[in-house]
Amino acid sequence: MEPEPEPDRVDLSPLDPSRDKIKWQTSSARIATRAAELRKLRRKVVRRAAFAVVLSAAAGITLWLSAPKPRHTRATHHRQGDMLDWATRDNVDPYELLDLGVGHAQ
Amino acid sequence: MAESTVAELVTRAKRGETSAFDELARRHLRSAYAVALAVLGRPADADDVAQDAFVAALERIDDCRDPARFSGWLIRIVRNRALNALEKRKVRDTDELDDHAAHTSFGDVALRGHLLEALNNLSPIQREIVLLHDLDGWKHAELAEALGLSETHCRQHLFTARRALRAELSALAPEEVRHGTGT
Repeated sequence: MEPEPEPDRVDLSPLDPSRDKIKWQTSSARIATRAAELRKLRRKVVRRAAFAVVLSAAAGITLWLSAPKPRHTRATHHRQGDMLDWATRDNVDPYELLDLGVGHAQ
Repeated sequence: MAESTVAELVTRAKRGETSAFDELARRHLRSAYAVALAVLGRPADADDVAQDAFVAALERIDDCRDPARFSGWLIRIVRNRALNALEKRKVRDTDELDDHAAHTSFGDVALRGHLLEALNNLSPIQREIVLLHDLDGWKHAELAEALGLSETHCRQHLFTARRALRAELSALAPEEVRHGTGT
């Protein structure tokens, strides 16, 4: 189909950057090369980052599994529980406590 | 051999084929430039922004979910980058020499200057439409889809933009107002 003539159209070709053919081709080629390089680099970085994350997670798990268990923790908790129990109990005879104190002072 | 469609090129580019990158740049760089020029109004700035935005778009080609709509996706990236550059330029506000002028004759430089001045008096959407249509040969349907407008609106914007351009150019340089034909 014949293109419809457009008498109102203003010639914008002086603004067309592709008129400078060599510069235009160089620009297009440079864009493609740079984009391909950056994409490759990004993929490589993502791959390495993912590998590093997996590696550090594995190392963390191994360390956690191989580390000696803190044995005293359970006993300390027990003792703390006993002390609390004693301090909050009200069946302790205060005179007995005083006697103890006096006896000690003497 | 039949020319690959944009969707095929985008799919190939996603697979990492450098030749597809090359072809996409060759076919769509002018659209990017037209949009950047519509926003920035200065050819040298438009050239820089169009190239940077194109590199960024190709680098993130995996984000282009609909390969058939690559043009619309690309010009959105270019427009955003150009708007950012415009903000930075407002802060900087230097009057740099247009390096394209070095490649053109004196008459061309004057005509380019008049055209740019006339374009700067249009609204941003009119500039974008007239540049994409008359500089890069976009169809109304493509413009409508990429810009999210109806075809009728695009035609109206183009008509108004051309009329304003002609009026402006007649005032600036009556002998340089040229007629053309095309799609």
